[in-house]
Amino acid sequence: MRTAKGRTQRVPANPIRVTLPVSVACDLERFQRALANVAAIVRDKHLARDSQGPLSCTREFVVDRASLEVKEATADVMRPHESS
Amino acid sequence: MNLPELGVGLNWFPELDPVLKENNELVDVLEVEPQSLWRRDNDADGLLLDQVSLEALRQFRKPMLSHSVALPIGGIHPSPSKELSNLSATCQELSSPWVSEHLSFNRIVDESGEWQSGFLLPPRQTMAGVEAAIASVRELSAGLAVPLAIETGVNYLSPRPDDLPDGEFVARVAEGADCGILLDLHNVWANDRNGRQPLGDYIDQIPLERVWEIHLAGGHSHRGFWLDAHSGMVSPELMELAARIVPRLPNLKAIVFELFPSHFPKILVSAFRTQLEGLHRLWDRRNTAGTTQPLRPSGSRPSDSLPSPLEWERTLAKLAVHKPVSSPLADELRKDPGLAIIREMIEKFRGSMVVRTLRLTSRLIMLERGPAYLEQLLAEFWKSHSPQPFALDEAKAFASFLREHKPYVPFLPEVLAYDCAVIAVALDGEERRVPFGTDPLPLLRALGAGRRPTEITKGKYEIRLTPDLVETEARALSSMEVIH
Repeated sequence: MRTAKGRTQRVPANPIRVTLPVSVACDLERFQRALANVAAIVRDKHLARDSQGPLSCTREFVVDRASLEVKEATADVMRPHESS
Repeated sequence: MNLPELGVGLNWFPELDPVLKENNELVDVLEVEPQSLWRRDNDADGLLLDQVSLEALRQFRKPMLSHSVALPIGGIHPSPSKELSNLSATCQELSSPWVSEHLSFNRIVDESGEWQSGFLLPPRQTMAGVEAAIASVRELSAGLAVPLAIETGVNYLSPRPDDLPDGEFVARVAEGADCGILLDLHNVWANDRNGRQPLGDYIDQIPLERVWEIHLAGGHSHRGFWLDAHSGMVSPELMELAARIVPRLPNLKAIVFELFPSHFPKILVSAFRTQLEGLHRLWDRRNTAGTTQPLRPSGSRPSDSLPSPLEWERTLAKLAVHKPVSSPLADELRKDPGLAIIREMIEKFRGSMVVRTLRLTSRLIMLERGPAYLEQLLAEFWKSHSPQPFALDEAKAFASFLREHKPYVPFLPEVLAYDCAVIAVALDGEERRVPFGTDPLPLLRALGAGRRPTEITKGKYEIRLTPDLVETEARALSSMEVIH
């Protein structure tokens, strides 16, 4: 895969990760709302993807316990032990 | 016996708190099942008393009665000493003036070890059965700091020719063990409607001066049986019968209404209030003069017949949970239509424990293969696994069964791993990561919404479950549940 600087960079092999507080997982109604929020943000990213394919940058999504809002945790992806 | 007069009470469940607050002045006493306050102590492999729930109960500032549902005293096997000491400690915490427990059995010890039937089963009603029950009552009483009352149980089986009449059996146990009686009028009335002893004869046979407490409840018809389902208001017919019986009870100290919380949403708040008012009118009919009727002579000892209580308990319990058993007694009991009712109640309860705990897994199986397939898997599972008092243990065992048998259900390994991880995180507070070879978002969303998953793409995904449950929520997951 070519980058702007012309170097080849592999898509990270670490999985797409959703971090979910267990209280949300235990409450089906909140669980549904949280997953809908994750799905929406993933869909938006998918629509905005470049030629590198979907989710090549952001691969971690964190659900907030109280608001159920989803935050992207891009920094996680860059952690050396998680990049291939 | 100098016991306090408590009045009209409710069998307490947390779900009843709103209606309890609404009708505070009509509820004099709360009856608490100690086991509902017991939590699995994962660190010590023991039980913990839920202090938060206990404190919430104390906030009602009402006397509390302890109604045990897991250490029945109608069988031959003694209660485990650990649970007995837990019961005693809980009763002290509740300041319960007496404790009640069921004149039934649920604990079996046989060639396969010790196991439970998952349901309070009727004891052998012979003199040998009386002696076994007396020994059990004495043993439980010895471990308690307050007096014990035995609850008159429901019995869906047909009366046997060699049975002592139901009332006489209770009378002999109560007098032999010198204990009180919790007269569950709905149980006795259900037994009457299902072809056992008429309620009037029953009342004539029991020592009425030993009745300290009455239970009243609603039930419903099912497959030709009247079920002790605690499913609604007390029927007018039973209220009328109770109005005739209450004045005959010289030592009545409490009348308690039982209602399972799952039925509560169907009941109007106004109906609940009307019920409590009716129970107060009943309470006002009690015999306050305190006259005691003389103890009736026990009469001559009827001859004993086989089967023994041991054979009865092993056979009935094995049949109830579909364990293999072959004997003339087993053949006889298989023909009893009441056995099918007992089995159905055990299975419904066990099935509900699995469905409530492994929620997405059970939905996945039903949506992919149909509800009949889940029932088939559960039936296979029940053949080889005895009931567990904790829903978590039941779910854990079913999860192992699924992993071992690998039934064809798309996405099963991942969804099962996810369900198990949710439980594990909630219990031990340690983070878990569940890998998925398919996109978990549409998969879990579909299951959460009760839809069959479609268009699931492959990929490398992971759900990280982080611990954040507050302590009370986590404890609720690990609570003991007992069908009774």
